[in-house]
Amino acid sequence: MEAENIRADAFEPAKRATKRGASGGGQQDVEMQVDEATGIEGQVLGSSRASAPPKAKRARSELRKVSVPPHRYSSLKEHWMKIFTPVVEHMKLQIRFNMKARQVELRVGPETPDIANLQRGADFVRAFLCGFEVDDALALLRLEDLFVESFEIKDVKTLRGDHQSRAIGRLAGKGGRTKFTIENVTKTRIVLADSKIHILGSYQNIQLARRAVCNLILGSPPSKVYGNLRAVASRLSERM
Amino acid sequence: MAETSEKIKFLVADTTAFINAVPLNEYAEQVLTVPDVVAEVRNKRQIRRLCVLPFDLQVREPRPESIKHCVEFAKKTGDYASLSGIDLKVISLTYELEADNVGTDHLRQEPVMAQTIASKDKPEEMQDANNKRLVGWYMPEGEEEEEEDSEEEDDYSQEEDDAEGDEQEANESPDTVKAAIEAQLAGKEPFASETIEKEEDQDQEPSQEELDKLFEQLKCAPSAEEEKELSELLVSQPAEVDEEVSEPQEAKQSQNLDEDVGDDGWITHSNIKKAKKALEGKVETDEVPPVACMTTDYALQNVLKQLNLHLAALNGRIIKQLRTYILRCYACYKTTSIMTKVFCPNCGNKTLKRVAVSLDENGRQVIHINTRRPLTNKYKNQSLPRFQGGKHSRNPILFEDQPMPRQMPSRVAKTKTNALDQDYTAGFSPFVLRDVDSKSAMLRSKGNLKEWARNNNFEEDRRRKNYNRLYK
Repeated sequence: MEAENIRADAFEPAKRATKRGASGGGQQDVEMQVDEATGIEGQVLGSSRASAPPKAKRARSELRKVSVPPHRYSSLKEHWMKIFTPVVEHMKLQIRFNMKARQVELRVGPETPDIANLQRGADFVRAFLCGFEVDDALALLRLEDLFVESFEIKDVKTLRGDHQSRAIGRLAGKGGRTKFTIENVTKTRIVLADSKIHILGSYQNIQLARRAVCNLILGSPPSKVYGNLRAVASRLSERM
Repeated sequence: MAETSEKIKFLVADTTAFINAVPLNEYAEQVLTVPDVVAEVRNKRQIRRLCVLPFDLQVREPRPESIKHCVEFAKKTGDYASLSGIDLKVISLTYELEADNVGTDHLRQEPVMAQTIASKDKPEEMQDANNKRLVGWYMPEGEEEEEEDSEEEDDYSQEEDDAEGDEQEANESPDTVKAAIEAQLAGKEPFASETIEKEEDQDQEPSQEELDKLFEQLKCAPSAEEEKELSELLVSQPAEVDEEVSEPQEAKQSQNLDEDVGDDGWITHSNIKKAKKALEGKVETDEVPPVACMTTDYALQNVLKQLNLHLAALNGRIIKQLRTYILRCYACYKTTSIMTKVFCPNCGNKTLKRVAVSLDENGRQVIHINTRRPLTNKYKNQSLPRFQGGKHSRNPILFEDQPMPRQMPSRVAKTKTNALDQDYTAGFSPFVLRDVDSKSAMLRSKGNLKEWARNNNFEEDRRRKNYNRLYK
C-alpha cells in the first residue's frame, strides 16, 4: 500500500512534464515515455542500487540516440567540437557519433552528477539538429524551463503553392526582420526550416511566439502582429 | 591554457603578439622583446594597450655574436631576403636565451634540407591531413580501413592492439622503400637515416623491432655520425617511456567503462583534452619548453624551426611542425609569401592561387601545383555594373586599394549568447537581442547581403543560368 502511494504521487509531475514537452510526432511521445522513467530520479537510482535491474533496461535509461537529418550533417561536422565540449565538460556525459546509424549517442559516465543531465544533453543536441545555433542551444543546458516546440504551417492552415511561400515570406520578413522582432519581444529563438517552425524558449514565451506566428500564417499583416505582441508583452511584464 | 600550471620560462614576443593583444602573462613567466619591436607598434590603441601591460616587459638587445650567427644561418636557409632587421634581432634574442639557459648542444649549425623525391608527390603529412576523420565519429563493425582510423581514438581494446601491430608492419615496408629511394637519389646516407628517424617519431607506438632495426642501421652508418644519432635517440626515448606508462592507465579506464555498448569512439571526461587537440591539429603540443618565440611571420618561423628553437602560437601552444604555403599568380607566374593578398602584387590581377612548397636537395623551392584542376577563363569576360558612389555603395572589388565604405554591424548585432557564463541565469532574457532597428540592420535588410553577393558575383557562378543578370 505504501509503495503504491509513493508511485502514484511520483507519476503526477511526470505527466505534467510530458504535456508541456509534447508537440511533435509520435517519436517524441515514445521519447517522453522514456522521460517518465528518468523523471523518477531518486527511485530509479534507489531501485537500481537495491534490486539490480536487468542490463537492457539500464542501458536504455542511460543511453540516448539522436538521429541526424542529412541536411544537418555538415553543420554537425563544423560545430562538432563546440557540441561535445560542453556536453562532456559541463554535463559530464560521454558522446560519440555513430557513422553507420547516423546518430549522436550520449550516455552516462561515472562522473555524471545527475542522471537528468542525460536528457538535457540530448535536448541540446536535438535543438542543434533542428537548426538552432550552438550558442542558443547551449541555453538548454543552463536553464531548466526552456523547451523546443515544433510544428508545421499546415498544422495551422492548409496552404498550397504560392500561398505557402507568401506565408513563409510574412514570417521571415524582409531580411528576417519580422522573425527577429518576434524573437526580441518574446525572448525566444525561432527557426524557419522550409515549412517547419521550431521555437525555443520558456513555456509562456513559446505561447506568445506561437500565437504571433500563427496569426502571420493565417494572414494578419505584420504591423498588427507587432501591436498585439507589444500589448501582451507589456501586460506580462506588469504582471511579473 | 590556464588549466596547465606550467608556463614558458622565457617568451620572446614579436610585434604580432602586441598587435593582437595576446595575454602573454598567461603563457610565460618572463616576456622579452627587442626595442625595435616596441617601436614598430604605431597604432594609437595598441600603444595605449602597450603602456598598460599587466606584466613586466623586458626590453633587451641581443649580443653581436648572436646576431652574426643567426644572420649567417638565415642566409643558409634562404630566408634572409624576406627577413627584416627587427626579425633578425628577434631570432638572435631567442637564440641567445636558449644558449644561456639550455645550452647549444641541440641547436643546429647547418639547416637540414627537406628531402623531396619529385614535385608531383605531396609530402605525406599534407596528404594525411585531408583524409583524417573527426574525433568521436565511430563506425561500428570496423573493416581494415576503419581500424586504421580507429588508431586515433584513445581507448583501445586488446583485439585492436593486435591489429595495430599488423598495421605497423605494413606501414614499415613502404617507408623503407622510400628511404632506399631517397638514399639513392641523395647519394648520402645521413639524410636517409634522418628521414627514417623523423618518420619513426611520428609513430606513437614504436615497437622493439623498430628499435632493433634502428641499431642495425646505426652500425652501418659511419662512425663519425653515430654519436649524434645516438644522442638524438636518447632524447626521444624518455618520451616513449612516458607513452608506455600512460597506456596501462588507458587500459584500466577502458575496462572500467565496459558496458553493453563498446567504448570505441566515446568522448569521455578523461579523454576530452586529447580529443580537442586532435581536432585542433597535431601542429601544436603541450610540451612547455623553457625558451620560445611567439610570431606568425613565416620566414621567422622557418629559421627558428631550422635552428631547432621552439615556436609558440598566439594561443600559447608550441608549434611542432611547419607547413609552408605561398600564393602564386597564374598570369605572371610570380609568387608571394604574404598569404593575405587577394590581388597579385606584381600584375595586380585577381589571379592568386595557394600552393604548397618544399625544398629539394639543392635548396631550391619546389612548388606543388594541382594540375588536375585546370585553369579556365570561363566567366572572366562579364559586363560590370555602373560604379556607384556615396556612403553605402556596394561595388565589385576590382583592384587592391579600392576605397570601400565602412559598413560595420552594430554592437548589438555582434553580441552572442554566452550560456556558459557564470552570470547567465540572472540575465534578463535567455537569448541576446537581435539587431533590427539600427542603420546597418536597415541596410542589411534592404539589399540582403547574401542575395547581393550572389547576384553580383563577377566570377564563377555555375548554379545560376542567367549569371549576367544584375540585381535591381
